[in-house]
Amino acid sequence: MTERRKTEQLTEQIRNKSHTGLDLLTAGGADQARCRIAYSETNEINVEDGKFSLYRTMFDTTAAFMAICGGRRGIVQSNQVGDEHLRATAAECLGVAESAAPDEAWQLAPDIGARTVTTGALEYEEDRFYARLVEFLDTVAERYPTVVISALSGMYTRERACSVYSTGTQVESLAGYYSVDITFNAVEDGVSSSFNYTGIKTDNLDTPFIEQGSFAANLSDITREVRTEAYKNTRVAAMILTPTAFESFLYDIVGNFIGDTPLIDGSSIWKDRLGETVADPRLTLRLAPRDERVVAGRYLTAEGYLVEDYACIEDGVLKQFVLSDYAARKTGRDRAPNTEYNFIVTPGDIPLADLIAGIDHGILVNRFSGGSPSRNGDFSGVAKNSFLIENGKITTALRETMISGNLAAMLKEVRGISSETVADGNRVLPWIAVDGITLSGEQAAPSEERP
Amino acid sequence: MLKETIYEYKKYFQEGVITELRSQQNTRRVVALQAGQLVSNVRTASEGISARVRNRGLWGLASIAADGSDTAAAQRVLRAATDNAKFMADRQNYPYTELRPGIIGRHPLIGTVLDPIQDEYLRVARAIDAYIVEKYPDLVSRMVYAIADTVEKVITVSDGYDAHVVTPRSYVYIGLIAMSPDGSPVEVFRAFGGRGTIVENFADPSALFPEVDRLYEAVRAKSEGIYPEAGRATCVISGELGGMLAHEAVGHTVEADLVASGSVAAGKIGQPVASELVSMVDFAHTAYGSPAPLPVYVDDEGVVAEDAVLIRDGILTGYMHNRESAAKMGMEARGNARAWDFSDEPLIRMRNTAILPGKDKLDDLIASVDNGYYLVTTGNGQADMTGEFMFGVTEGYEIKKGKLGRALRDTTISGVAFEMLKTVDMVADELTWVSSGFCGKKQPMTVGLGGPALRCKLMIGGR
Repeated sequence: MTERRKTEQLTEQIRNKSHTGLDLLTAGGADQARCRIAYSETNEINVEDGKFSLYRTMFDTTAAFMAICGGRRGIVQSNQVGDEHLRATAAECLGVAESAAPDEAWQLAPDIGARTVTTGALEYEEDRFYARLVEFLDTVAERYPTVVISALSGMYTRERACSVYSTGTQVESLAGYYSVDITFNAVEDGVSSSFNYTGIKTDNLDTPFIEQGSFAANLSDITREVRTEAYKNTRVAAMILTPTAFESFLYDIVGNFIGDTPLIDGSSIWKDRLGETVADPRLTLRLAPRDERVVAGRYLTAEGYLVEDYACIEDGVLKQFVLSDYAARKTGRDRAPNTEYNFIVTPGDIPLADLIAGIDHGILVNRFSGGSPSRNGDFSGVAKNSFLIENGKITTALRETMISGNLAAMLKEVRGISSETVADGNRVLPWIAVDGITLSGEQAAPSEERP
Repeated sequence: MLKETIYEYKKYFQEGVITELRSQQNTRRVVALQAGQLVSNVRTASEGISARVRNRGLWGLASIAADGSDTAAAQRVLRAATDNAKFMADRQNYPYTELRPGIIGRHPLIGTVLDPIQDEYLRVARAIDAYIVEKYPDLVSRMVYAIADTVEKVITVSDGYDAHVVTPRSYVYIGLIAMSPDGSPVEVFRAFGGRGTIVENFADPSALFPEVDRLYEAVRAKSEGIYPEAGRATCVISGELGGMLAHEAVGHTVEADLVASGSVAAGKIGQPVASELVSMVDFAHTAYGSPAPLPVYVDDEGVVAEDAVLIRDGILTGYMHNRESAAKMGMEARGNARAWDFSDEPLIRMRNTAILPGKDKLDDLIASVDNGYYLVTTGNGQADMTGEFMFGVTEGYEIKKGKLGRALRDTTISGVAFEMLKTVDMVADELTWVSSGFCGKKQPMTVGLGGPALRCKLMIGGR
């Protein structure tokens, strides 16, 4: 049998199983239903303590069922796709739905017809991938001899899937991509820096990994983080967030102010701010899984809507809450065109070097290790892999330095956004400089023990 | 329940090659009520077989979504794992250490495998939600989640213990949100539960009502709370935070893979790393004569699990190992190699890690502080190989002249483990265990964290 015929047979098998699953749900009483069947193969090459350690191959399948019976919704997912398993999973799904209370806010999207989507790297190039990983490790060893790659996971995943909806929608997809994630530190004379981690997602092997994402910048930075000084002050100062650190704050901003949870429970401090200025006018934040710089981004929402890119904050104005279809119906607001955290922030017009040069006293934060911010946006935590900025220059790596502030206030106190951005296959972000952050360190707060 | 037919597939192992074969099923149920709305009503399950094979010090692993009694699937993953190990070994020529032979035996299944239906989760969540909404209508919102996960494994290895193990656990998470006088929302959130199914742990949901009442008092106090003064302070941390300290601040730095990468614990065996009042153990399955929160009897390399003593009277005494790190460092593996999903490789993970209780009373710890903080509940935590750690604190109080004062808003504490542990000068006599959530290290993992209340010095974030 030819490869092409094998592929056609597999595609047909997946399609048939998805329709079998859907039929089981509708025959069992679901008035709205979805079934997704997927076959995937993942190959993962691992490095531990700078040396190759493990090669892992995973053959997996997915059967994801959703049933809505008179407004009662249940979701059941299994990784078994045999006929008997499909029957059992469908029955389980109907049982889970039956246990729920009716809620008319659970609705599927209108029919979008039959579609086929193919994206990313569709063939696994094992030897070339391995060679790129060897090249990466050799480059790190040569350029950054004090760096230890404590863990590297290089992965290739390919998934073939079919999603069918009771509305008539059918989407068949084939997607493949590579990813490389590393955890690393630097060691000199038996003294280690803090660890840091970073990664990329890509659909080709044309470019050395070291040239992608934040690898080179982060690895270079860590070599200067072995010798650190404790911050000796408490002071309100400026803060520059690297793209990686900025991303973690964006997660908290969306999650705390404009996502499903704070709007359904009414705790969002921005719940009445749609159309108003909530950030510096230079800030535009888009959620853009369809952007060409995002690798194998999502195509369809859970309800069956086509994913579209959009700006939730545009020129500082809150334009759109990041609401699922369900949350939009519950809150009487508009559904977001997607709820994927593929963040793209429009770059500014100031080079990073000038952002640094404009700060008399502040901190460059590579990683934030903090408690979950409060509902009102207050945050505090440790600035990791971070540097002191004094008189426009990066001076020393810091340890035991806490930063605190408020997420909403921070967005109003933007000093500047860098013209440079980093694209890692999931997001495209610049550096951002803000004011009003409290830095605190070693000095003692008034405290003592009783005799 | 998984069949034990996988034991029969040892006949397919290559002689003289270290091989592991595992059949595994993970199930998870989630019911989430947010402001009374059922926003999540989900069951997930994954089942499969994996094989891991060692060739010249390099590992190959392969997995497939299949029933454990699927002979063809077992043979396929054994072949693929062998090929993967060969792929690596043919391309690298690292010096390697032979693993020490394991002890042969078989550990039978203890208990049964149960999967209560979704109705049971909704019953518990709805009862608690109804109590909150009726008794405390002034709250801005509330969240009630009923969550359970069960991991069942049948493991067979070329030279070690075969085992059939199951670990069920279930929790109810309760979150309350109140509005402060300045118009900003404040939240408290706690998990209740542990080993066992939702039916075993929450047969009577009203047993949690007193905890709801206590949480309500906490969120009310917090709504009028203050921000701590940023800087170093004398703190009394609760047993819950003591457990987090054991896990995050110390535990990770003494995992042998992190030691090999240069963690702060490297080269410190036999040295003082804490006050003499501090001892710490990673319990395998039994602590003080009772089952540990999440018992581990045999790990995924077929090593019979034993306690690992990490700190004794302030002296660092050991690391946690898998077979390979133990062989390299000339130490003993005690059952810390654990994998989360059927397709995952075993990694060095903690099990039930605790700072051991002392002789002081919590009331005396608080009474001893003239000006400081009592920190009760943590939301999350993270540590570093340098020993620097941070925990988010979601419930805390100031201590003034030996008495509890105003509540704190959310804050973060931090320190450097082996420096901070030397400041511990009082250790309470009660051990508190928690086991909800996951530890993250490439894979998620369920762990138990235990500790007594401690008096110590910490950095605290403020405004």
